[in-house]
This record gives sequence, structure tokens and C-alpha cells, in this order.
Amino acid sequence: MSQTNTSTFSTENFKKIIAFLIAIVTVFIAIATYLQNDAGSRDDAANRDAKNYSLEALGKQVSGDAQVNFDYNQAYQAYYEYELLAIAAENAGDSGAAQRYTALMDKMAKLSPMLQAPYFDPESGNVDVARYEADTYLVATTALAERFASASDVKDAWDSKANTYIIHLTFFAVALFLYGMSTTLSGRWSPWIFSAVGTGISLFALGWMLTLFLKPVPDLRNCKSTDGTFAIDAYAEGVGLAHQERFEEAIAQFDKALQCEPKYINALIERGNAKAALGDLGPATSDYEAARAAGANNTNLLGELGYTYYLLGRFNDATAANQAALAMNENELWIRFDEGLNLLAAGKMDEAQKAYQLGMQNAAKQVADAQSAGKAPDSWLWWGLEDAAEGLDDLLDTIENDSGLPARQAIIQPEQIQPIAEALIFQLKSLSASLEYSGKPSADPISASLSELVFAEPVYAEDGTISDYEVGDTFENGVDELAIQFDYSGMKDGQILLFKVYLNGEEDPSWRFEQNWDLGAEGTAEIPLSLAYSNVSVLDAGEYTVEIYLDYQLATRGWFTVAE
Amino acid sequence: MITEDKEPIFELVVAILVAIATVTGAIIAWRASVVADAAGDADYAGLRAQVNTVEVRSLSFVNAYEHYGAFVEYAGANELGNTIGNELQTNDTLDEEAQDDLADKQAEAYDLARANQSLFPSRFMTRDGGYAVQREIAESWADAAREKDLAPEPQFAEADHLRGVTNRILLALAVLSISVVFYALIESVGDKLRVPFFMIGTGFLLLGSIAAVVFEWLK
Repeated sequence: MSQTNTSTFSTENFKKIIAFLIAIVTVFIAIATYLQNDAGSRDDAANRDAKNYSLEALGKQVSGDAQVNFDYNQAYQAYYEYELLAIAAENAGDSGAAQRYTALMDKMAKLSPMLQAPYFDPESGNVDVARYEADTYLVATTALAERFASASDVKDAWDSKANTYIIHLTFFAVALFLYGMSTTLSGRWSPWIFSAVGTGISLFALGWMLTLFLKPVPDLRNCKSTDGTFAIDAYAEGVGLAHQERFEEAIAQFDKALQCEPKYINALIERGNAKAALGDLGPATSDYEAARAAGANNTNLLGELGYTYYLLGRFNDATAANQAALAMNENELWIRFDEGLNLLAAGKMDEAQKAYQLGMQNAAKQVADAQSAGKAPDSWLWWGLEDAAEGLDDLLDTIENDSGLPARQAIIQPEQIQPIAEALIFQLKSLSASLEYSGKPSADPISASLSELVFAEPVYAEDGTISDYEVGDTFENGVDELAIQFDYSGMKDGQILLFKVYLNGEEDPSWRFEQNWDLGAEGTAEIPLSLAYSNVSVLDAGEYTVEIYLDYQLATRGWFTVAE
Repeated sequence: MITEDKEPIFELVVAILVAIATVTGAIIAWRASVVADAAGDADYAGLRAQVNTVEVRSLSFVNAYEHYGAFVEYAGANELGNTIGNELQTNDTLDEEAQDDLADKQAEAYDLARANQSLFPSRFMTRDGGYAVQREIAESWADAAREKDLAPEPQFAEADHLRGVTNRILLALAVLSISVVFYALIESVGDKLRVPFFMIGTGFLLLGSIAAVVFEWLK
């Protein structure tokens, strides 16, 4: 009798405990539901904000572009044209027309804020387009793009929290099931085991839920520097200043952005770029490395880091960064060629040449793939080939003049580099031209021979005929006509001649022409580089590179300078 | 006998209140879901207004600056015609051939000006010879605002407000759920504490229910 009473009492107590536990878990479920809903709400709000920012940025970009396009392509172009016409009229002795065009210039200047201070200097006629773009829309759209990215991160974080709370709710539901089962089971241990497991699961879910609740969701949009400026706004200002090449001021803004968020990746990368532009390569690499440590891992950053290491003479580090970038995307030509350049400077001639050959094969394949898909190759492919040749030119300059980077003493076996680099330049440029015009690499070697280019300024007699040439490689500012002369042999009529002119490393396409050769097998040829038809224009000051291709293979190249 | 009669009534009342708490909780959860849905709708309406805003802003800027470009062509040609006219009137040294030449140039300039004049709305030309591009943009905006919703912010504010209401309603649900704990403990505690626990449980039940009603009422 006594035993039965004890058993009944024990069962009753057990059920009371289970009822209490069920009630407690119900409260946990209510709390988890609240937290899940709260996280879901924040997720929705951040998602909406992200969409809103991206739409706003797009709108600002379009309207800003429309405004700047008008200011530059309409108002400024009209101003510039009238200025040229005024000078031409003045030079032709028509002062009346010159006055008319000057009046028109004044009229145009009033039609655009870009032609007013602080963007326009009427004395020099120079317009600061970069500053105008920054003030009109660049800073604003950059800030919106950053807020979009930040809101997206916040959205992801709250989304993850909301989903995790659902897991907690599932655990609590399982616990409720186990408590319910424990009241229906017979036997001595089974009810206790079910209730114990249910309690364990509840406690585990509760602990996890509390940890998750206490985990903060950082929001860069709310991050302020000590003077109260939002980090994103400081960053956007920095981007605007860097766009104007005001790098020191830009760095100050990036510093401000990094005050409250030292792991602000974009600010670290842009500060690195600004420092690199100022020549502070060591600090620039520190910023790139910090960005990488903060989680940035893309081919652009790694490529920039690799190139900066190369300039500093840290060739092994450069190889590591370049290889990491190429592992992500093997089609990044500029990084593959940068790695070739790096290996060349490191004295690894065979590996360097192999890297260049791989890059050139990749370029040819990309063009073939684009053609078979009926598309035009990406424009950056040509840039990659040109940039590779320019990098080799720079390395040769460094070796020859003992100036520039990487420092000459850091370069291994510099005397062996020269012939290899020159051959690679010809290969790269020939490949670029042949891919551009024929879609495939040239198979046959050049059979003709062209001499070094001679640059000469024609001297005119009184009757307007050329009486002499003044040969040189540097010409005074104001020169408006030059003759490019060369001897040739082994030429065949009908061969395709391609002529290219670069000013300060950038091709001036207005000088490019392609024509069939019709001057016979051998002799001396002359190609004019002339603006003499104009009484206004002269050759711009700078360093000129002239290249002549035969059947799209670089046959000869030369250089001259027009003084400032 | 009296005690035995009272006990089932008390337990019955507790059981009914537990049932009421459960049903009320379900109703509160449903209302929270309805308000959350309304918040989502307000967000969508706000984004639709933002799309309208971006479309109208972009088109009005592009159109206005195209017109402004045509005006620049017009203004340049017209001013050229005017300055040639001035020179024809004031310069006595011009011979007949030069005068004819200038007159031809003036005619060309005015023809060009006239050709461009039809490419922009002339009502935005200003008295000082300029063009009120911002006024044209503002007018386009005002026209569009009559047909489309161009104000996303109020919708976003409404969405944020409704999300807050949802959270508060769910907080009320959490408060209400505490009542079930006290009702469950009534069976376990001694006689002295049964009535206080009953009162506390009922207090949470009423507090949670009333709070949920008030939160939704005030939304």
C-alpha cells in the first residue's frame, strides 16, 4: 500500500515537473519567435535600404553623367572651338572675326558652371573636369555604392541570424516533443531519459540563442570618425580627391574613414593606391596587406600588390601574390605579364619567357574564342598586351639609365635582360597588331628589313619647297611638321604597312594608318607627321614613339621628344 | 465535501485560462504576421516609388541637358549673327565685297540658330540670354509627380513603423506566454501559493493580451 502511494506520488510529481518544463520551453519559443521576427525585420529593412541605395546611385550616375557630358561636350567644346577659331582668325589677320569669336567664348563661359571658378582657369583655358565630376556626382555615387555594400553586409548578417533562430525554434519544438513523449512512456528510466534529453536540447538551444543574440551586427553606415564625419562619407571624399590626383588630401580622408573602422577594406585599398601614386610604395603594400588580412581577396588587389612588390624589388613576394591572383583567374593577362616581368627582373630568364609565352597563347585563345562566339574580344586584352610591352620598356629604361623602379641594384643579371626584353616587346606588339587585324598570330617571320627611324624637321625654301632637313631626336616646342625616314630592303609591293604613333606611352589613334606598300623592294621612304595645314595646331609636347609594322609584325620603332 | 467541490472548479478555471492563453497567443501571432505583411507591402510600394523617382530624375536630366545642348548651338549661332550685324552697322571701313561676305555669314548664322531653336523649348530661355535648365528639370518632375508616386520616404517610414509594431506585438506574446508557466506551477506549489500564482499568471495573461491589442490599435 505504502509502495503504491509512493509510486503514484512520484509519477504525479514527474508530470508536474514536465508540465513546468513545457511551460518554460513555451516561453523560450515565444522569445525565440520575437528575436527571429526582429532579425527578419532588420534583414528586410537592410535589404530594402540596399536596393534603395543602388537605385539612387544609378539615378545620380545617369543624371550626373548627363550634366557633365553637356558641360564638357557641349559648353566647353563650343568654348574651345571658338577659342581656336579666334586664334586662327587672329593669326590670319582678321581681327574682326577674332573679336567676334572671343565674344562667343565669353557667352559660352556663362552657360556652364564647369566654365566658372573653381573649375575653370580663363588664363590657361584649362578646365578641371575631374574636380567637376567629383563635385557633381562622383563623391555622391561613391558614398551610395558604399552604403549599398554596407547595407548588403548588414542584410546578410541579420538574414543569417534570423535563419539561426529558426534552428533554435526547431530545437525547442523537438524538446517539447520529448517532454510530451516522456509523460506517455512506461518503465522506470525511459521517461527520465526523454525528459533529460529534452532539457539538454533546450539548454543547448537557449545557450546558442543567447550567444547569437549578444553577437553584434556591425554597420559601417553608422561608423563615425572623431570629428563626427561618417566613415563612408570620408571615404567617398577621398575617392573624389584621388580622382583629382590630390593624393595627400585623399589619404587624409581615408585615414579619417579608417579611424572608426580599421578594417574598412575599400578605404585600405584606396589609401594604398593613393600612396602608390605618391611613390610611397612601402606604406602602400602595408595597406594592401592589411586589406588582404581584413578579408579582401580579389585578383585586382593581388595584382596591384604583386606589382608593388616588384617595384620594391621583393620579387619572391611578387611571385606569391601574382600566383595567388592567377590561381583565381588564369585569364588575367596583365597579371601574367607582370609575373613575367617580375621573373625577368629576378634573373629567372627561362621562367619569364615561359610566362610571357603563356600570356600570349592565352591572348590568342581569347581572341579565337571571342571570334567563334561571334563577339568582339574584350578591349582590355589589347591594353594587356600594350601594357606588357610598356612594362618591358620601363625595365629597359631602368637598366639603361639607372633610374626608376625596381632599383637597378635589385635587378639580377641586368645585362642578360636587354636582348630578351627587346625580343619580347617585338613579339607582344606584333601579336597585338596581328590579333587586332587578322584575328590570329602571324605565322611567317618578316622577310624585309627596315632601318632605324630618323626624325627630321623639314626646312623650307622661299618658294615653299623643302630645301633641307634638320635631323634630331628632340625638337623645339611649336614644331608642326616632322618627316620620319627609313631605309628598306626586301620589301614586296602589296605588303601591308601599319603605322602607329604613341604620345607619352598612349597611342594617338589619329595618326594610325594602314596601307599597301607600293615603293618597290628597296630604297628610302619618308612618312610625314604634319599639322602644317593648320595655323593653330602644333605637335603636343612629350615623348613620341613611332612604330612601323609589316604584315602586322613590328618591323622597326623609334623615339623623339617635343620639348615643353 | 466543500473542499473537494472547490478543487475541481479551481482546476477547471485554470485549464480554461490555459486554453484562453493558447488561443490568444495564436491570435496575437496571426495579427503580428498581418502587420509584418503590411510592412513588406509598404517596403515594396516605397521601392516602386524609388524606381519612379530614378526614372523621372534620369529622363528629365537627360532630356533637359539635350535641350540645353541644342540651346548652346542656338545661342552660339545667334550671337555670331548679332556680332556680325553690329560690325556691319558700326564698321565704316568695310568695302562692298567684305560687307556682302559678312552678310552671307550672318544669314548662315541666323539660319543655323533658327534650325536649333526648334530643338529645345524656348520658354526656358532667360532674359539674360541663358537657359533655365534647372527650371525645366523641376517642371518635368512636377508633371511626373501628378501621375506617379515620387515619394518613397513616407512608404519606407511606414514600413519601419509597422515592423516596430510587429516586434512589439510579439513582445506582448512573450509576456502572455509567461502566464502558462505560472498556471503550470499551480499544480506543484503548496496551497498557500496557488492563489498568488493564479493571480500572477492571470496578470501576465491580461497584460500580454491588452498590450497586443493596444499596440495594434495604435499602429
